[in-house]
Amino acid sequence: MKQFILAVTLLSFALSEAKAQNFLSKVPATASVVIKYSGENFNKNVPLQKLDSYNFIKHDFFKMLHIDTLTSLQHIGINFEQDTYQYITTEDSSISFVTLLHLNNAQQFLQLIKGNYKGGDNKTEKKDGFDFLAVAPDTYIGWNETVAIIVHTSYQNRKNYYTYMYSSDSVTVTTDSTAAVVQAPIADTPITFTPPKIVKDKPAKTPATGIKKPAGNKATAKTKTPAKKAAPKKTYINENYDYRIQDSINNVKRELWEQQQDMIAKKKQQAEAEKIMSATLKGTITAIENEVSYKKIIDPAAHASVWINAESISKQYWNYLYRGSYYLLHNTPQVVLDTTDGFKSAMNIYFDKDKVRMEQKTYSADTKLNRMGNEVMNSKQNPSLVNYVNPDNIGYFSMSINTEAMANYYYTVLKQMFNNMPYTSGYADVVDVYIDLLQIVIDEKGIAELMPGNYLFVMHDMKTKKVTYTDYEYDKEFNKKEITKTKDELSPDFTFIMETKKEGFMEKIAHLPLKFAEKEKYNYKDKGGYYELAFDEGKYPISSLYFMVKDGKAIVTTSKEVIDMTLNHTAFAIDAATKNSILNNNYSLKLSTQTLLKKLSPQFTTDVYKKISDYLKENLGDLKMESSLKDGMIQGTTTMGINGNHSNSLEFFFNMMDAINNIMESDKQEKDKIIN
Amino acid sequence: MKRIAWLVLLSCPILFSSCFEIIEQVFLKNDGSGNFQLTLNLSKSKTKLNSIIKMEKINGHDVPSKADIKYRIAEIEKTVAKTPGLTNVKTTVDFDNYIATLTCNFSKVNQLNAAVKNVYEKEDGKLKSMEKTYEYDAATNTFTRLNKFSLKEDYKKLSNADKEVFATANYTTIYKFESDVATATNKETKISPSKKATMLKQNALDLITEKKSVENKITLTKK
Repeated sequence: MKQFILAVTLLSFALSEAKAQNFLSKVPATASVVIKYSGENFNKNVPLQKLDSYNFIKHDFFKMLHIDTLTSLQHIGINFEQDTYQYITTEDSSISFVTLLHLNNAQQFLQLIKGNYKGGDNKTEKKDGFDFLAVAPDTYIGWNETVAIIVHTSYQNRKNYYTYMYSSDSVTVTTDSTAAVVQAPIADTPITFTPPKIVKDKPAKTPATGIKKPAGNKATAKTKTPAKKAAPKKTYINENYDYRIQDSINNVKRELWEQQQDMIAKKKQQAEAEKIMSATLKGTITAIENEVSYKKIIDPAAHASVWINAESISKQYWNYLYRGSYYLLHNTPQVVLDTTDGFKSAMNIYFDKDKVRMEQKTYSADTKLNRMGNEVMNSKQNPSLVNYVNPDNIGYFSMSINTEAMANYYYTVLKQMFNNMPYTSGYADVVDVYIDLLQIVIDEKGIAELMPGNYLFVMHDMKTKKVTYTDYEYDKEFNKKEITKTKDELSPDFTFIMETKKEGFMEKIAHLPLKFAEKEKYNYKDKGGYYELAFDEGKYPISSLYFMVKDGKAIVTTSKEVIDMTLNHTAFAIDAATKNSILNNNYSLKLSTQTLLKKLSPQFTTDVYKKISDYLKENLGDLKMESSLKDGMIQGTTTMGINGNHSNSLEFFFNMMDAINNIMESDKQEKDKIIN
Repeated sequence: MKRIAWLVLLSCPILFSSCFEIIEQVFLKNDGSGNFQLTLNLSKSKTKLNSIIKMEKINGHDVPSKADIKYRIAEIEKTVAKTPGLTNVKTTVDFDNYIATLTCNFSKVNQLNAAVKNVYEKEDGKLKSMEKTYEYDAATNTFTRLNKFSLKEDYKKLSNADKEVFATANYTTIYKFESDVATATNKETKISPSKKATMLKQNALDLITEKKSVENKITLTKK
């Protein structure tokens, strides 16, 4: 089923076009993630006929969807020309991943579904206003003439057998909205039942007398009182044998318990799926389309977009992580209701002619939090760091943030995190005091002086370096003789620089390894103005690592040139565009894929990797990312350039997948031919 | 699948290192006794291994620590040493060059078969086809290297990344004798000028895919 959803998703990604009914009104405001596949140019960029022609679509996707290769994607009932939405929501202790699809032919869609779910107990049910099919215990499809909904849902409130077993009394599962529902598939009607329970310490009978069914072995519809503890008998013939019998009984009970939990989960999941479908197709939803935090950062004109409620995801994560603890502590999980706090992030994706462009925006409706986020970004890169980016480097990453603001921001994040963690949420006031105390103890200004927040990593080059290895040569009589040979290996040439206002402290750290070099047998030396950690020649791809603290910078590098440059106060000649990008943004990244692939080429020893590398060299452009504060929001742009003969960057992705798939398939066929 | 895993279990970090060699060396006396040495040389990949061994997992495979590897090799040594007839069993492992060896003396080649079987059974527990690896018939003066098991199907199931491991690996067999070698059935066998030794160096992938074989029947001249 996951493959089916994946296949449909990827196709939707390629083909959606913003028209007709607006599914955004069907996405609940409580969703933690919303993905939209839209854009006027999508269908124009890669038409269905074009998609049909790709080998990997025909052979892999069609196979995944159980479509014969003669069928076209135009005839599977899904209207790929309209918007497709996916979202994640948590309701009634179930996390659901929902896909909303437009249909243009319900019969063809039904054929597609049946093709994927032949046989079994999968029967279409008529619900109020839609057809319903349970394709798996956690996956359901509902559809009418124009809309299909796929719900993949997971019930999060399964009970733990061992908690039940070791509880002091028989458990009556009184339900809140999140608890077990056995008979009522849709309504949250509370029903009590008592699952089978181990009667602890009750010995099994000896084989001679047969095995008597222990008390409390049945699942009944009413609450039972715990069975009385039987006094252990002293007349065992074979204690091990008895133990094994009891163990087997316990295992059966546990399996029964798990089966019951599966049944409860299935009922709950189905109820949840039906609820979502009914609300989408018939009911009214408090939709996300009216949410300011959605509208503010999502561009309706984007070809695809992803909206994330980080706060809500974090709560769900903690709920999931601490799920087991709930039961041990006899707590119940929280249901996420508050979605107003925290940061919301969005990524708007555009498939331009010569590049893929991703615009990221992060924003919080909470003024205080938003201000704190903005303060973190209130920083400018130190111009002297720019000098270390050489023009023909493979890539660099520059980061400039306000460390002091970051530290203050973390206190708020910590408080929120502990408030969201199920175990600690009840102690929010205590946690609040502890974090305030932490804030008093920690000297943020001191940390900010040590690390003001300006960092730069540069990958200058990937050089080849001779390394030694042991091999054998044989004389005429095939006597083995150990010899040392050399070979070329890639050696990364990089620099990491951090601005510091505590040079003295950093110098102490750099000096410290000298004390232990002899004892620990490593080669670390003070070279006058810098330190060198030299590696055994031929043993590692890197010969030396240099450490230097100078002019407000702490430097770790493999490049002696960088050290000399710093000593002599010289600089690399950097181009204006790169310089501006680094100095005018909090984050700036550039990766020259051409240079990287060229440098990595010697490592691609097999034909298949060589061919893929050649393809990428011809078609892949540079990767760039910039991020800064704009209009009171953290905003960033990431672009990946496209070369080669492609109509647009979306088509490039399909062409690339097809080309790589063809290379690998032909290699596989060649190998299979040899094997067979 | 477990059988092919055994090949790499000796030292799991060879995964994704792609350059390794296994050297199997037997010195056989006329009375059927002799010396056996197995060498696993990963030295050509040592810089990668220096990095890999610091990792916990690589492409879904657990990376054993040096202590784990030492322990496994010591276990193999124990298993081999318990095999009746085998003496002077020694293993070495050099983590500077990533070379591991196992040596032992035998009084009959059947003892080597038993040792190989014991090791396989301990690792795998179900191998039936490893009954015989070597045969020596003093009456007909023939020494035979057998290969009754196939890794072909297991290899097919490996991921592409795992398959790459074997692409440039080699398997070398060196057999030395007191008597002269008259013939060797494997056509790629090199016979030394003195006719006292043979060598067969093959690509591991060719062996796994059964394009080539280590099987060899070496006939010695009668004394």
